Amino acid sequence: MSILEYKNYSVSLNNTSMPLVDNISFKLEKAQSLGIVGESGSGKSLTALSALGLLNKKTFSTTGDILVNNKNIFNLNNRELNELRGNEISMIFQEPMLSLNPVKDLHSQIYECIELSNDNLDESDIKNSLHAVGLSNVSKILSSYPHMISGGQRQRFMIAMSILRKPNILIADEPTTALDVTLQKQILDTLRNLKNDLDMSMILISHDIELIKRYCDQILVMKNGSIVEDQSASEIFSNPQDAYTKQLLKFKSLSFRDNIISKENKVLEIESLSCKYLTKDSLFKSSKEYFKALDNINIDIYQGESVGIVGESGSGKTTLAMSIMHLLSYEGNIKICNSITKDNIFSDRSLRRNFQIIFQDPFSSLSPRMTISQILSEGLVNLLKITDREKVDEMCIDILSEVGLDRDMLKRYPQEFSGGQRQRIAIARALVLQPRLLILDEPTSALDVLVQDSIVKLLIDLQSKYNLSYCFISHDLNLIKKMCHRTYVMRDSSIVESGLTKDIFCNPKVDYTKELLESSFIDY
Amino acid sequence: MNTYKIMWKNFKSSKRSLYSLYIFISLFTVSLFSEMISNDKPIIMSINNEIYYPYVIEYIESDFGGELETTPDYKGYFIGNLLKTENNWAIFPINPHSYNSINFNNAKPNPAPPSYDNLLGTDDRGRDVLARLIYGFRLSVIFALALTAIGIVIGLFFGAVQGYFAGRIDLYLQRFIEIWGSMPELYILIIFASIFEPSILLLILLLSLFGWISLSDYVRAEFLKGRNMDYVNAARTLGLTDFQIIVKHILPNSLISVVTFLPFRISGAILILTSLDFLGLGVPSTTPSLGELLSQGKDNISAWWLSLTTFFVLVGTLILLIFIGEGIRESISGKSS
Repeated sequence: MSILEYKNYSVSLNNTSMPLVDNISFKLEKAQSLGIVGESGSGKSLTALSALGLLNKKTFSTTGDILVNNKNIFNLNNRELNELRGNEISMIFQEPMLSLNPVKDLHSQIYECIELSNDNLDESDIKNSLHAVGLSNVSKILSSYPHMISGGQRQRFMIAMSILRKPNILIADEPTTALDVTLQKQILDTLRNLKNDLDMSMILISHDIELIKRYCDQILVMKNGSIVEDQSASEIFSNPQDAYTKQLLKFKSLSFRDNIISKENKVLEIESLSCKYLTKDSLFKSSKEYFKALDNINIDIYQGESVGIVGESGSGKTTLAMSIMHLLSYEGNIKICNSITKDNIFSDRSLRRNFQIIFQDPFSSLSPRMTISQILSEGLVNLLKITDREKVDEMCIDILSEVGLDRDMLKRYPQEFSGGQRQRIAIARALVLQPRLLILDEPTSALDVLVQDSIVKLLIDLQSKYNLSYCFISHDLNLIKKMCHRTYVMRDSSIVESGLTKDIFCNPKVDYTKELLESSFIDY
Repeated sequence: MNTYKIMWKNFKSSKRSLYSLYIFISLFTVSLFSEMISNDKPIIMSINNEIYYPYVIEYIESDFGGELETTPDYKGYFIGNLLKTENNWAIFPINPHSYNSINFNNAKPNPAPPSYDNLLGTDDRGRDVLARLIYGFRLSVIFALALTAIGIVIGLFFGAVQGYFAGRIDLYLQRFIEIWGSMPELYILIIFASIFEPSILLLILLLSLFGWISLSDYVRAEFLKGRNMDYVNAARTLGLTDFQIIVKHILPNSLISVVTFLPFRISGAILILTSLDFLGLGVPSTTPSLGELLSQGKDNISAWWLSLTTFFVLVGTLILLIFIGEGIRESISGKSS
């Protein structure tokens, strides 16, 4: 008997006819784990929120039925729905910082679950559920506020809250997207063990098909609001039916780049680079405290080469990018194109044309008040000193077609474009200056899987065309594997391992690299 | 689409705010031509087959065959007699009184109630209330616009410098602003009003000294946020100078708060001028001012035409501005298309 069933269920925004979720039907069996995969905007979260009756009726209109234990939730009144929420179905959200109340301590937040419960639960149940999710030092955690514990602990705490009332169904909506890869695996393992111990059913929502494959029995692939594939996990990978699923699977299985790069022309040379932030200010020099964001870093990049820099958040990757761009003050030597150093970069700004950067978030890297034409021409006018308006326009049009965009986009504003298009604009802005070195700071992590794929292809094409050198900063090992000839692994502000990408992936020397590889679900 | 275009589209969808804006702009435009509407000099007149333009050109009485070498009283005995003869005529503005011309021919004592001659009566010195309201409205709005503009320029400057450079500059300027802002504004005004002859320029100057502080706080916050955006870093790597980054990148993204506060700042400035005039700390009584009329209304409680009419003009102006401001605020926060 299925405990949750969707029957011809559709959601659309009021006063539009375009459905966001389009006529979907599926069943969740007892103790089953179901994975929902899809890009952003494919309707996966809406589908999940519907099970709890959380969609605002003023915004959304729905048709079809959702049955929980054979009761249609659309026939329930508010009080009955509240019974359902938390007792029968509970939910874990993507961003644990936003789903915990910042002004209440954790104990009062988890105690709320007890107050709302029908069963006689008490403090010992809180302790048990916190132990079950792997949180030790319970009393200290309960007396803290959400910002005082780490992201992984917050997500564990959210899970503890949601299993406290022993629900039959647990819905996890991208539970690990906001976390580092090593944490991701720990959290998902915890979830799986809990599911088995408590005999729950679980719905796991993610954009990462590899992750879903490891943790789910049954997989739904969603695209534009419809289910394009509904199969068991083993079946979907051996025998995918839908073209979209095939595309998703293919993306994960690109091989290494192993063409040899001639080691003649050094484009970037970093020697004993260190960088520190002031964490505690004081009048006296001796009692000032610093945080070392970078510690004795040495990196070389040659012409035409892609070098990957891997590490978790907080390992100093972005600080490294900012130092190379000379946007931070640092100690040590950074030499770009054999001649540019921190001594001459500030006296001659036009040297900056030789090295450019692509930022992580294309939504904040383009000024919303400037047209694409203004954005692209800014560097041309400032660094290349081209004053002829027609020539500038011509170069902008050329570079737009180079990154696969249309010339009539020039007059429009960034907010009219999708994330992938914006990232292409950011790439165009950097490339129009014909730099020799391009720093890419997590260039695809804000984008959907298939968009990521197209950006990666574009970058590889451009590299071979212009003999560019890339410094690729990412936590995504899949991306590094596809893009980079050599890789440096960073941890706690220093480099722990470096070498050819293939060697590092197939034969890691350091424990930390092994851990990283293991948690990122890559098969070799 | 440009954000301002979206804002304008949203603003237009709120009918109340849109009409308020139209009414306010047309009233202000009309009031700019107050001399054509309300003046004691004829716009054009013909005496002994010669055309005169007293509204534009200063004549003396001897030009019309009189004896005095001074500007004639066009509504007085001498010109009045000339106009009575045939072929002589004059076209007066709709309201034939200026803001400080005194009606000497009134049948009733001043302040005189509304009559055919003075549509809204006269004040306690025999000056036409309607004329003073029209001129007073114009002066208030111009004063408010000037004060707001100066406040915005200074506020933007300080806010931008503090927010963009942050760190030590921000720290020192913030302390300076705290000290500056804690000065007793009203007492300074009183002291200056007794040392210098009060005038509208002096008032603008004194009020500008303090008016920018509240705005600079918002601009500072916007700049603190903006300086960490990736597009600012991108601009640095494109070799832009600090000044270029401030003007081209962060400023356009920070102006929203300035625009939102604009109507409220204008209405606030009108209120300040009115209250200062009411207290007698503002402009001299020859200048037309709403506050002075209100204070006369307080002194002559039975002369309802003083206080009531001024009250309606003042409240009308403020309500229009508040409706406009509300529309702008909603056009930003509200449903953006």
